[in-house]
Amino acid sequence: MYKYDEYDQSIVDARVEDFRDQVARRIAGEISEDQFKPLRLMNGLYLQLHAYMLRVAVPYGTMDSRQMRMLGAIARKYDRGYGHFTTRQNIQYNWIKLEEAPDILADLATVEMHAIQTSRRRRGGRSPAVGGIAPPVEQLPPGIQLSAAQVQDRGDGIG
Amino acid sequence: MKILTGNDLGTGDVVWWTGGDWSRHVSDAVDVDNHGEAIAAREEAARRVNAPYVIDADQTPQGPRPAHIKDRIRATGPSVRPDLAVKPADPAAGSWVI
Repeated sequence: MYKYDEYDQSIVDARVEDFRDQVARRIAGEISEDQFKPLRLMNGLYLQLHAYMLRVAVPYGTMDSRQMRMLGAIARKYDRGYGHFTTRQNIQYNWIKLEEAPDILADLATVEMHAIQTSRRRRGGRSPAVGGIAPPVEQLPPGIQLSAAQVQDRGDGIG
Repeated sequence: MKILTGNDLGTGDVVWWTGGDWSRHVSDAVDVDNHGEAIAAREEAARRVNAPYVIDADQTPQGPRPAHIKDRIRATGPSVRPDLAVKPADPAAGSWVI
């Protein structure tokens, strides 16, 4: 299984606090939905047909029991007691309150999980493989593996 | 008729413009005629609604019925979890959507 090192953990923890600030500014009206939408999508938060949805990544599709229990705890505490495991190596929560989304991400970070880049609208609009813009290596979330084609596309010699 | 819908900013709940406020029930929706865009802009700026939009609807004895099935599903709740519907005890909700 993938295990966070100290850098991974600090990146994820910092991202949670960034998003907490962004959500607070959205609720306070300091940023518009147009400005907020790419920020929430970069953190896996969608506005869907019936409510907000949070898509949580399961890197490599493997989890330990500690992480599994946290997913259940989040479903009970923040959602309606259930989640939806998808074919995309993730779990989606379908009844998320905007102001609680940062708390969920903070809880996930305690078990080395996150929702970073679970949306295609994460950066540059599309995957690098189909012409989108690849994020700098230091902005990639923990557990992300680039394909050979993506590395070549980057042109920065980092593999 | 034209009605106005969107989502609650905090909860994401589907909401409908009642003329003075937002309701979870499409039966409370009012005809906005050609004022929908202006109301939507004002309400969104005040953060009383998120991503509002104007839709066509038919006036029926039970209240407004959105013309597009997408909005009838939004009005009713998730079809895969009828227990989580807006009116879970309503046995006629399914036929209203279709």
